Amino acid sequence: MDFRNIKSFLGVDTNEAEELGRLLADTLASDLEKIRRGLRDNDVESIRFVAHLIKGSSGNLGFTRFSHLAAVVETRSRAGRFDDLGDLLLEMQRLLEKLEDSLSGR
Amino acid sequence: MADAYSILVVDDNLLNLKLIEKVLTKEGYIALLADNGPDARRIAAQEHPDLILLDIEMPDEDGFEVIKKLKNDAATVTIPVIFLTGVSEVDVKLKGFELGAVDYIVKPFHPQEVLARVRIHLKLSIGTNSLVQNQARKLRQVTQAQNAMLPRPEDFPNAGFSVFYLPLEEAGGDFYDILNISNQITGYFLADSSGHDIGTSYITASVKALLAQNCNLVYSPIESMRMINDVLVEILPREKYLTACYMHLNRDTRLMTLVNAGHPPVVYIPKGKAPFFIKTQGDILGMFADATFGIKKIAVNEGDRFFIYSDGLVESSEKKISWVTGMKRLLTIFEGLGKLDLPDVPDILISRLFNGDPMPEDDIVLLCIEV
Repeated sequence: MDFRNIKSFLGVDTNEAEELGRLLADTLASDLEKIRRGLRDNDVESIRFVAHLIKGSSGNLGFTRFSHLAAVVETRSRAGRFDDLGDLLLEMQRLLEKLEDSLSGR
Repeated sequence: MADAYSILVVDDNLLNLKLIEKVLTKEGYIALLADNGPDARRIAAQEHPDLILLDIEMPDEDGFEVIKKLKNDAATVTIPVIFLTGVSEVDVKLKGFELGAVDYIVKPFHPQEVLARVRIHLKLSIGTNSLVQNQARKLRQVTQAQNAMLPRPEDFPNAGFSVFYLPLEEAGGDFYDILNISNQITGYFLADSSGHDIGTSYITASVKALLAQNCNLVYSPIESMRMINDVLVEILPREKYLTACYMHLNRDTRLMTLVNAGHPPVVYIPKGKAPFFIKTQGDILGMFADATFGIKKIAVNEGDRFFIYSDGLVESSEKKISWVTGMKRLLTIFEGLGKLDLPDVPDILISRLFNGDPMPEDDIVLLCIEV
């Protein structure tokens, strides 16, 4: 995940893509933490709600893989299937780190 | 440069707000932002944006609640609302439409889709607004034309009348006319046409022309009304008709002839005396070829006053007041009106009748005539 993808996806300049990318990264970091907390507390509704938000916000910026993973979390949490959510969260965390790397120029 | 269109974006997700703001401002739109329902409603009422993009899933006041309130507020009811939803279920979309949304966008969305939908609904809104403006302009023309047809007392100094006229809508169903039949004879005509639409104003124009043709020295008042009825039966649509009252006053012979076509009774105040109704039965105008009209001839004196009015003066469907019940109190309201200056009488009578209450839900015309 690279913030520069936002440029071409939305037709914005680098500064705007960076601003949106940073906002997304902060939001995702906070949202992933909320999902982890939901898993600990067995709070199905908040997992579903946050996954739903992530699906929309990442998809809107063109990060389809991330959006797809969030959609799977949403569907599975709705069905009460928490067994392999951990793997999905790991992949999402890795993608988020890539986004943060691109933002910090690494 | 034309004014930029403003779009109110409502979403509790800051990222979505920022994203849509960027997309819209890049295209020259003014983006107004709200991250909750109450703020959105306040901004909508104050700024009156051209369009609203409204997220459905929001904490506390959700998008459905917001749109419901927007559509119940006169200040915001006409603003088109496109709702943003992450849920693709038909029920959710249908609920949005039922509440008054014009379209929906499923999240995640592509910015180009948002722009395309914004553009198309702004175009539709512009089209609808111009249609409404156009119709309003035409109705205003009808009003002006209809008002121009109504004689004013200053235009007929010898007719001795004053008037109160309040059409309910642009094309009022009530109208009146004053006819200078000769130097000594004046005709006073008042009619209430069924309906208040544009077709009604066409009837007004037709009847005015018929009065000019048929109210003259050659025909008696009853003959004039029969001639007019015969033509109206031919030209009016089946469901249209008029109630009317025609008063023919010869100031030389002091003879007043009243022809009634299903109209409320005229109030007569002989000079220095108490008011009373002149009750005459008669068929309505424009419905039956063999109609018969009520006729009354009264010898009058200088200073006597007559009051011809439409049923809006007494009837109220809201307060369940019909002719019969409304007229019981009407005579008491006319008491003492014989002594007041004629030009002041209509306004005084109306204020006595409604006493500060809202005006009724019908046209009102009141002709005050002095011999």
